[in-house]
Amino acid sequence: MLPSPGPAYVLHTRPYRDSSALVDLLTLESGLQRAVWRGARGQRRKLSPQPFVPLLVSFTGRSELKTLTQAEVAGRFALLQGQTLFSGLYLNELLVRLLVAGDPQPILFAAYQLALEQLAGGASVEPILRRFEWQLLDNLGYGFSLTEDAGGQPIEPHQRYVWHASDGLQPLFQPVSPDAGLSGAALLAMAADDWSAAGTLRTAKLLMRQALGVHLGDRPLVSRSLFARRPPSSRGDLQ
Amino acid sequence: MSFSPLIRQLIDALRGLPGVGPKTAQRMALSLLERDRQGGLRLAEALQQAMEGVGYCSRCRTLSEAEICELCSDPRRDDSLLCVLQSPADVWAVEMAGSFRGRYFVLKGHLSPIDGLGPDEIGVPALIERLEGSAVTEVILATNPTVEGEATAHYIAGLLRPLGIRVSRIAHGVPLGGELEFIDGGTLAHALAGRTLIS
Repeated sequence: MLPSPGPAYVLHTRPYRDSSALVDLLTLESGLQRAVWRGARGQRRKLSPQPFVPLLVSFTGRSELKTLTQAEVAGRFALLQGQTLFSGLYLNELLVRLLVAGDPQPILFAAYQLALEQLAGGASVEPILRRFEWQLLDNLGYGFSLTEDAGGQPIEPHQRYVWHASDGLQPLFQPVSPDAGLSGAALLAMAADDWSAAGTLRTAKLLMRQALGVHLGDRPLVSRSLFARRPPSSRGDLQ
Repeated sequence: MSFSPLIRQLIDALRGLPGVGPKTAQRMALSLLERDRQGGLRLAEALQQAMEGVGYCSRCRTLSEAEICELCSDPRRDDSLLCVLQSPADVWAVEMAGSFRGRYFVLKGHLSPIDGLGPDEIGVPALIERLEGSAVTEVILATNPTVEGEATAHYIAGLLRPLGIRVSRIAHGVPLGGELEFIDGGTLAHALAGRTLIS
């Protein structure tokens, strides 16, 4: 008996042979999954594999590369435009770069779905991205406390902190300047999911860049360059 | 049956063409060898000449054997309109439609962050360079109506607006002769978002 179709999103597509596509999918049941989508690019295709469309899919195959046997639209298309579209591509790039194929991530799947809905709904972009980055790190086992430092002491609002990949946040006792390191108040606001203060977003971006950078390696995230409003040869910043 | 090395080599070469599977490649190879050796030699010569002689137009970057292609050197075309496309095949598609009389610029595909294709890689700096000091007053972004094509159009539009150039996007949505009942949600969402006033 064929397995019943499960929820999925297309993260990325590349042409394969004449009319097929190799697709990277985020699935509820098996996390990141690569599959061959037959007839995805033919003129007689029923459904085109596009990102941000909730799907129900089923596969066959025992190898890492599956064959898609069924795909149908399972909900409303998240219509992303401009900055929200770039944000969606950024989320997809993060997932493809950091997820391990075949490792189920149901919490992350729900977080991704919510992020797309919020982006399509016109909510403020930066908090959505920071929240998702944090959930991604946490669900991959790279999370750390935002309310306690590496020594187990509570984060103090007036203290500055530095982040270390090995043990998390540590107090910065002699800051070079008043705004060196990370603000304790901003870290606590992040933990409380309170993005009302501008400084919180600035701190969150800095912290997430550092924490993600450890796992992304030397290859930069190309989607970050899309947020620049400068000629493309000077690399842009995310928001 | 196993073929000799030269026949095998020919079949494998033909299989590299789009739409040609192993059986079709085999039929083509045997047809040329058995019934049309002259045609085979003409094909070989045409292939060699094209591979060596066809490059890219230095102005619009479509396929061309001249430094400047016929479309760019045609004085009757409208210099104020520039249509930006993803591939030379798209240029031919628009030309076949017969209603556009402006100039073209061909990108090297579309933005695809996961494939490492950012603005630099697809030739956005060359587009900016093409526009500097030109007579172009409107840029028509005719990248594909896919997520990546949309992202490419949005990115370029954001760069061009400050230059005072009018930026438009080709319409997309419900196809002529289509029925709403059979159109996918994504296409309908775009059609509704991009609706136009009748009066």
